[in-house]
Amino acid sequence: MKSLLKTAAIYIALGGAIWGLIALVSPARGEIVGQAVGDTFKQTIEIIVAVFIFIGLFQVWVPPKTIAKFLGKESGWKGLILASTVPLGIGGSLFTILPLVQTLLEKGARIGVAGAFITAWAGKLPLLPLEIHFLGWKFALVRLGLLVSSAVIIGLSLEKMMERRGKR
Amino acid sequence: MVAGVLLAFSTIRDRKKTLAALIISGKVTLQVLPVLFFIFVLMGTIEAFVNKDTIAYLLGRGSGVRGILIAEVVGSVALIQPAAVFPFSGYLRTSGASYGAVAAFVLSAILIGISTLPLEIKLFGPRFTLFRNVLTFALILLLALLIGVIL
Repeated sequence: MKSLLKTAAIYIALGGAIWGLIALVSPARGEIVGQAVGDTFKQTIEIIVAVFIFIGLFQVWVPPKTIAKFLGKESGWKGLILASTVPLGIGGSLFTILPLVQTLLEKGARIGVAGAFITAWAGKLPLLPLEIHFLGWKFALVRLGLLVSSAVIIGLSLEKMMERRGKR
Repeated sequence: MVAGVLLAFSTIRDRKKTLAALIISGKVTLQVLPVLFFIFVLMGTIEAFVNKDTIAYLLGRGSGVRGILIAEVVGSVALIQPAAVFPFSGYLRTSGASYGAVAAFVLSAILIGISTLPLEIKLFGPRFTLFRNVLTFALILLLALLIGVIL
């Protein structure tokens, strides 16, 4: 919690410093920056709040740990297919997802599942409202479709590459 | 709206879990909102100093593979929360970046992280890390090209 506040403060300070510096050097440009910040906030705050609520609900109703336990047991195609769809619902960044995938491997998942899992996780379903708002539903759907269908390919290629050169 | 309905539904099903969910939401807010503020300032800064034509020139339709590669490298290096990726990408798009370049940025910002390399090496070993990142980089290039063609 403390480090969370610290990081938050750093980002706010950093943003404020850049803004302040610009305003100091060129007030007109500072105003452009301020306007951009204000406008974007106004446009997005509603969606952002909704997305944050989504993320919380997802995590509680579909806990990542349960997913890991579940996927570790599945091998073969079923595991690969699950690995390229289930992670879509998981939030977080690489910092949180990599340890989760490691748990997956520890629970006995194959490398292909791990590779597909990380790739499919970038589908980011909890952020879908944001993506549609900023980039349109067409972009969101195409990106999602392509990513899900290529997750298995990445997983299996990764597995092959790891096998060919011995154990990790 | 939808979030509100889901929240109400979740409350009826299980109060404790809903409370836990809201606590997570609060933490995420604390984690992401400052980053968003920072990103918004960055966006404003780009708007104040960089000509839109420059973005369109670097990442626009005519930039082809080079534009996609630029976006992909920037996305890989960028230290940015996934939730902040989309607002920034939307900004790039309205500034004239092509769909392919935007896709390359979105995917590499989420999936490839210079900042997470040490963690990845520690957890999975250097070979896994190298292979995964190289494969992912190649995949993103391919997907971005495809998206550019489709949209």
